[in-house]
Amino acid sequence: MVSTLTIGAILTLLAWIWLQITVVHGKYVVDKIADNDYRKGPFDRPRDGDSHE
Amino acid sequence: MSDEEGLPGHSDNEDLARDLSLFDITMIGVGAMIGAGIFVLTGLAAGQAGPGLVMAFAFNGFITIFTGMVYAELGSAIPEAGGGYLWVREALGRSQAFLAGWMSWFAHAVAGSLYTLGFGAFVHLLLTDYFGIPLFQPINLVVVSIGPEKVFAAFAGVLFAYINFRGAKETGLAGNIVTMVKVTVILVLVAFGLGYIFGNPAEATGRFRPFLPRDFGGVFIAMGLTFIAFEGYEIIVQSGEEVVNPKKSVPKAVFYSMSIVVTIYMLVAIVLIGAVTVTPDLFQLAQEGAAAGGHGGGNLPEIPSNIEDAAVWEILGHLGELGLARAAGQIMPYGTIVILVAGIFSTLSALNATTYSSTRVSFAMGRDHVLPDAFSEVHPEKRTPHIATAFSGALIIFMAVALPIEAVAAATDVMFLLLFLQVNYAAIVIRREWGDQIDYGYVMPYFPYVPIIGILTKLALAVYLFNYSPLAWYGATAWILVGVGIFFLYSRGRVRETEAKEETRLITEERAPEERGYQVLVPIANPANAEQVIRVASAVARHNDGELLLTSVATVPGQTPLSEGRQFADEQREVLDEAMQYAPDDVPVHRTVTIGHDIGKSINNVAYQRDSDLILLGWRGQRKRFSDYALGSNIDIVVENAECDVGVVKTAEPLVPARTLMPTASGVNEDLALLFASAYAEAGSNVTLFNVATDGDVEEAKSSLADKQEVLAESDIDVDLDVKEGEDIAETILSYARDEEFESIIIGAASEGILRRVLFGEIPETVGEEFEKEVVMVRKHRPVQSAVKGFVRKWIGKGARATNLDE
Repeated sequence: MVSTLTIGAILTLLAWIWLQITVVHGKYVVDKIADNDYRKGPFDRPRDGDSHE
Repeated sequence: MSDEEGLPGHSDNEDLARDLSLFDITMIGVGAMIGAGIFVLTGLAAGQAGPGLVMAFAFNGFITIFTGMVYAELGSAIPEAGGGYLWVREALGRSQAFLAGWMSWFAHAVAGSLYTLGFGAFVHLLLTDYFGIPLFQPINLVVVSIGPEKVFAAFAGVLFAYINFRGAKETGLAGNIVTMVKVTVILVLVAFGLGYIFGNPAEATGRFRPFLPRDFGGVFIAMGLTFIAFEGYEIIVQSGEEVVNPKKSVPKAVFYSMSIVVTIYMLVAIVLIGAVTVTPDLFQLAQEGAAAGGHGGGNLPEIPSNIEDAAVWEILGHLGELGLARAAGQIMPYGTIVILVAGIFSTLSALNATTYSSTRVSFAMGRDHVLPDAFSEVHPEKRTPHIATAFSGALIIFMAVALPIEAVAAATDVMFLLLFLQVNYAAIVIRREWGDQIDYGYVMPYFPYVPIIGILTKLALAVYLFNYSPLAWYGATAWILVGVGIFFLYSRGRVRETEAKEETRLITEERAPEERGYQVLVPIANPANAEQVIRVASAVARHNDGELLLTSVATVPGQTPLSEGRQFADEQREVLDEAMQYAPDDVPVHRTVTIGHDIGKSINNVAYQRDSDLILLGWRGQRKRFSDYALGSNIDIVVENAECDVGVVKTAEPLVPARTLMPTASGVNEDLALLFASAYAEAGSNVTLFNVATDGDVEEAKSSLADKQEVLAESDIDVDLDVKEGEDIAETILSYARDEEFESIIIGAASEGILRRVLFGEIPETVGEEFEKEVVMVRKHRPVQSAVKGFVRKWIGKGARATNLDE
């Protein structure tokens, strides 16, 4: 039987990995939008007059 | 709301210096999150969660990143001082925003007070225990005891208020140094701890068993206790106006700081549980702590009587805010003193961040006129909001020195959680309303599920906190009630003035030479109705020795700035000029032309700004059975939201009615209907008070009418009266009016409609629609009911813009 410690460690690790994936994805999205190369959500169609800093 | 720009290009006049980098604001976030949380709360949280403390930190990171994504998105799109407060204001209206800002300001300030007290306690311990410097004993001043800790706390509060006054760059520099020092110390501690754990794997692993000694309930409590440590993104976004390239920097700083901080917290928890042995010294200190009932140690398990049975997490819980420092003595050389010094730096760093953010929130509220304007003043040389800084600093110091801060501080978590609920909801509204117009620097994936999960998790945590500490909820509720009181007594009026100014702009105004106390506002839209509406308005004004204000509203689409509407002004002025031919000689008549995005709102704004007593509208007489509106969108909006009495005249032939019928029914609107009837009688119309006896008791109905007749007679107004039996009130009124050849019916609102479609009640609206000649429907303003109704309406989701519907 799997111990509580093992289950706890797995859940903890999964939560931490989720956080890190979100962070990496966030950086990716920010850079893509800055390059005017992101096409999801509000950017799913070309937007005239976009001005990204 | 800034109407000229709307949300997408929101801007304000007072500019702050833009000189913070991505590194600077990441450090601000890290500094805020690795503050008292890790040094003060870690021990206590360990006592709740046991070895599951590691999981509690990971789970807090997991749920917090959902709201972190929301902050990253909105912080990149609207990088302005104010953060969550600003977004709630834009999306949900100013009344919700006031509470958001109020909670945010106090939550940050109380957190700052905690940090000053933490600083004071650490310094006190360091000086007395390690340097042997004798300090004075606490002095009792009436209800407050001032000890050395509080003096140090006040000193820290003053110091960081001054640093924040000096400017963002100095703030960032000081904060960066402090943050780097404490992160370095923590990392060294972690390195020593991990060294021990890897050197003694079996022993260290054993300390993690059982992993959840208090089940998941203990983990959730630990999450709630330490949640305050994970709100750094609220502080990061406050710096949006002072950051170089905020569209990239703000979201990245939110993510980087979360990643760094959650990892550090987890490592500290691993080391704290795995690398610490229960020594006799620690055991004794924990027993002393438990006996004193200190360290906020409520809800902690009792210490086992035998040292062999005591787990390290139980000991840490009872060591409270000194848990990490005491444990550090085992983990690395000079650990306790190093952690005390780092704790001093840490609390200062967190104090810096909370002083900064509470200042920026109050600055934004001052800029919105919901707090006095002085809060929005920017120092001419330093370019910092010096008054807001002074007030926030004073608040922090006052609460640290004078109030039972532990009790108040328990509410900060709840307030942050409630604030985040609003912000998550605001993010949904903003993306839906303006998503295609906003220049985002980051967009969250899986919209709207991310903010919905954010709402649900925050709500669950907030509710769970009630189980642990009802006091937190009572405290939060008390603060909120104080805020509601201030809002209604002070801010609401200023909010209304601001909204009126922003939504409606006066173009021209022509005043009559004479002014009188009672004013009837007559919006003129259709020149064909003008004669009849002005005649009715003049009669009422004359009866009350009042005046008329004719107004015409030019409208421009929501996306177009109001200034563009000036081109329509001439057209509207001509409409008013034409209407003036019907103006009487004996009643002063003023004229205004205004511009707004919405006719209904603009009419109410003019009435509010000019303090009108009555708005009189013309109506073509067609009810819209299959739309959301009863009488038409503009009329509905005016009637529902007016802050004065309202009358709607169903227009017919423009003549003075020879015979007027006034059906009566007791109610708050009858007095207003009688005022109209009196005015008609004075103008020469033969008025009949009428009642439909649905219960067959004609005599009693006649007696009631006779009383009213008598009252009017005392003012030399003669009216007739009549009563008819009938079951269908509307049908009886209509048939009587037709049979007796009445030319006008004046009828008060019969009841408040629960349905939006019924403004005056079903009976008046049926009469108004079906009677072939003139009908006047009137509704008395009831301030308390209107205020409550408006407040409830906003809080159930109709935001500032939700009623902005064009005709």
